[in-house]
Amino acid sequence: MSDGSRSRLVKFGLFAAAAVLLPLLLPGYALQQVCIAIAYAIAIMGLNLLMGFGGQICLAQGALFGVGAYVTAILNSDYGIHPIATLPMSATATALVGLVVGLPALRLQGLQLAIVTFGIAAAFPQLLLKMGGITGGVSGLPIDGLEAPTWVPVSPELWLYVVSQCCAGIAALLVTLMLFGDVGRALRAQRDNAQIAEALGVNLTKTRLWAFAGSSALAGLGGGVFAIITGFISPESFLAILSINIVIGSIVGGVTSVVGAFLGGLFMVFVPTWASDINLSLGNLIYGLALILIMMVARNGVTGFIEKWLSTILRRTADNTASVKETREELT
Amino acid sequence: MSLISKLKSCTKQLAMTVLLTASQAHAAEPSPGVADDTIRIGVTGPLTGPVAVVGAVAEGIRARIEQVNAEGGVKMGDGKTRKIELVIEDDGLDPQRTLANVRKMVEQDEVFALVGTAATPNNLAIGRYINQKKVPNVFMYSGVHALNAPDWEIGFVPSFATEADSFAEYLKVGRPDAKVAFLYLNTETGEIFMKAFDRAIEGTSIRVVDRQPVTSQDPTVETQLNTLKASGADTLVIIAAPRQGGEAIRFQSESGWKPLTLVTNLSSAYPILQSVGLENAKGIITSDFLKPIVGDKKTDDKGIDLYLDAAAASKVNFNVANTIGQTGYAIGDALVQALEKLKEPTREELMKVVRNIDGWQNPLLPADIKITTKEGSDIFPIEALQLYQFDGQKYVPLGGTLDFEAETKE
Amino acid sequence: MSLFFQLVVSGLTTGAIYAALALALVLIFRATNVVNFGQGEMATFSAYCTWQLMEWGAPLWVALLVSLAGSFAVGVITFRAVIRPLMSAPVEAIVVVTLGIFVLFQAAGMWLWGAEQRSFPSLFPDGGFNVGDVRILNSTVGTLVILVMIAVLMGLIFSFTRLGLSMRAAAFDHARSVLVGVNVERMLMLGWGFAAVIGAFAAILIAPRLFLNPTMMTPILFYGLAAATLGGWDSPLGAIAGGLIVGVAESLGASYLSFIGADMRIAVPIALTLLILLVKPVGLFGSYKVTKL
Repeated sequence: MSDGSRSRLVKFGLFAAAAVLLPLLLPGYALQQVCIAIAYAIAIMGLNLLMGFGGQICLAQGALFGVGAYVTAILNSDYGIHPIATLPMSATATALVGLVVGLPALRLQGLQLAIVTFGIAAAFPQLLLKMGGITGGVSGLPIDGLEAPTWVPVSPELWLYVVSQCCAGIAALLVTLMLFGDVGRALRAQRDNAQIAEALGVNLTKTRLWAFAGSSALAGLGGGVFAIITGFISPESFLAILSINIVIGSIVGGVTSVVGAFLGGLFMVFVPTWASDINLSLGNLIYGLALILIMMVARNGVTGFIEKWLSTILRRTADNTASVKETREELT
Repeated sequence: MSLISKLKSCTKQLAMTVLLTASQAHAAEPSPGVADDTIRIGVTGPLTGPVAVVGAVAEGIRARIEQVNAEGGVKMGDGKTRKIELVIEDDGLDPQRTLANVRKMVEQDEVFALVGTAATPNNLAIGRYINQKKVPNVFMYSGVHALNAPDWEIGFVPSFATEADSFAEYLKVGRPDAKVAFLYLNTETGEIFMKAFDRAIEGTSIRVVDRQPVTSQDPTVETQLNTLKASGADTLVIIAAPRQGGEAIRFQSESGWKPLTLVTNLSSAYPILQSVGLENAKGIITSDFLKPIVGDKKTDDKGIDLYLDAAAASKVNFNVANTIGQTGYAIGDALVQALEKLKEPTREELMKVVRNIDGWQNPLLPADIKITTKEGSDIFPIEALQLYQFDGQKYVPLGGTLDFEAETKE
Repeated sequence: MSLFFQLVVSGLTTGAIYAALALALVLIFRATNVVNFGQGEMATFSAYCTWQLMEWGAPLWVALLVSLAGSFAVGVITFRAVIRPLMSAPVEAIVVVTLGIFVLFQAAGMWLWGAEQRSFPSLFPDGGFNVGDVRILNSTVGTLVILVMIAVLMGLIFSFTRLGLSMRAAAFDHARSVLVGVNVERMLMLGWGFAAVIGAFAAILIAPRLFLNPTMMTPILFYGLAAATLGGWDSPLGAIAGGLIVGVAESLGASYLSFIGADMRIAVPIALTLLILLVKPVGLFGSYKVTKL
């Protein structure tokens, strides 16, 4: 077995074990927070596709997340559609919005794109308030509580967890498929060098718009899941800071990793809470320090750090087994 | 063991755990958080973040509770004296974090009730949960009262509609043909206020000539105010967050406009006027349900002195003249009074008490502003306001108390 | 018509605030090729220090000079402690670190001085004067004059002095600057120090308008970034022009475009930035070269 596939297998095994163990170990309220982390993780996966693989910076992922949440909420509370059934529609609608947001990316890059999209994130909550007739204004919208089907004997929290993990699984699958296909190759090519990629026949317009649509679809899916988990949404949940936090989650987790997206989501939800548990009035101070320290220790994100560490260990054990073998051979 | 059988056993275990926790929940004692000598209460509010000013509510509550505990605790209606254990959590005003905090406080810390939960969206976000778990959410810090858990929540501060009524009342007498310009917060705060105001001036010759929205994120409000000034209005009503409200108070003076300026108590607190410059605030009118407090000097008012002592003893992190902190203290006192009246320490009993309040006094409320509610008809604890005019040094009462008891409509 | 001119003037008043932050952002970008998202919060912290010194009885000018010197030290320390170890790290890591700086300084300010707003003394006399019907505030004029002076000085230093050229070179290409004998680390360190000083000065100029509080810079971060982008991230005067354009456009848009209104006025700078960038991708005063976040 090659080194790379072995480390991938170990990683996947650890991840699967964690996913199954979490609901066994955590009390209900913490499990709900994990569910929210998963919703964020779905949005981060989208951003990773766009930022990590596509090299396009989008600071409006939180706004797109909000679009998805509102589509789910409106379809559920105004039209009575079952919350889970709204998810494909949230993803599709958000993908369309994402295409519009992505249009400037055809001409703008880097810093400029970041700032224009940040503007969209800042304007989004005001837009929600302005469109109070549809969005319910500051009093927001309720979403039906999710009950497990009668044949599944689990608590509502666990059912939410299962549903959000399934959505995250679908998202991870989509991202992986997209990355291994032609789109993924074109995406990486234009990230590394747009001119050369274009010369080699990569259609920049199509590729970038695809990336935006895919990324936004995942943001929308994540938002829909978020709305279902919290059961109530209002503009306060989708302020500009959310977009920044999603970017932080993405980078802290590792911009080119699916597992990293989950770690990023958990980071977004739990680290601020833990920081304020350590000391109520110093919470944000600790959080800020944590952000800086993490990047200093793990400059390629936490997954990058773990991978490096894991491969060192694997190599060492591999060396050990090899040397054991050698000594045996010598003995015989 | 193969992976599949492992998974199977895990699922089985999972289902077992879930069933177990469910049955445990049923077997739990009827009123969690109550012991013979303590009662646990939860508070969540924005202690950090862009609106950390509102965190003063939690600080004010803490000041009152620590004071009561220092005196030995609350003598409750069942004859036992209990100390109050406060669990305070920071939510940064993010509704999702409020819900997470509340769930943690209810499920892990097992609080008896929540008190002083800040802001409308945050109370809406926890509505369904507290309804399900039947946890009282008392004396919320929200100017909107009819939220989504009517059986388990009660507000505290007057509705924005009550404030609007008091302003309309003042204008009807003081300036019967006022031309009014509104600077309003683009949330329900502004909407409820203006709707109530429009209703109150129906049939009078008071006219609203212009309305400009303001958001709590606006860096400056010069643009809106210049437009309002050009509308020819002679009366300015400011409904805005402290920063924008402060800028508006400064503008009406600095620009040479000098209309009759009415400011809601969102942005009329004394420390805000200090930041604006007291001279600039001379003449503004506001309405409040609290006694005016300008500094930490002792007065001849027993209630205020009690508050100042508590604030000093608890080393609160806000200026004692800050009305948000004072509101927190008043909420803390109302909680203590409610606990004193509990015949049995159950959540149902607490709701029964706070939904049938018959004219409680409060150390920070003037003697003729009383707290009153009635199950089924009146969910607004405070419905009376006193108008004040700022004379450049302090707030001077303007006329008597305006009482709108049982008249509030949202 | 006088309303129109009054709105232009109030746009300039607001624009001066944006310009001040944009100036600091541009300086650090030119000197180190990093966009420091925490610039505004560092500046607010310095303004608080000035205020604190005055509370302790120092006269305004002493407090000002001491806290500007302190800001330089804070900028240098920040660079040495958290940016220098990451100089070879991916740009994403630096973005997160500057966001960490943002959170850290805001939290420190809130912890030390509380969340309530305070008054901050203006460097200029109170009040204003009238031109026809239009009222202009002394502080607007004063702020703009000082900002332009700083910008011109910065432009001259960057273009004509050895120090300025070395700083630009160091920011532009670490490796090759070393080869031509530039002490890259020292230049970047100086860049962080100077940017912190300019930021602090900007905060002191605008704190009287915004009221001193730990989050006073947060809502204008986007406007500052938009102003710097309009100006092209390249010239200090461009940043000021960008700020003023954003301020005036926002003021007029909020008043005359009724479908936007004052509550959606943030849409105006977004649309404007987008429009100008689509026509001229490097911004109004930018020169063509590759920029990376």
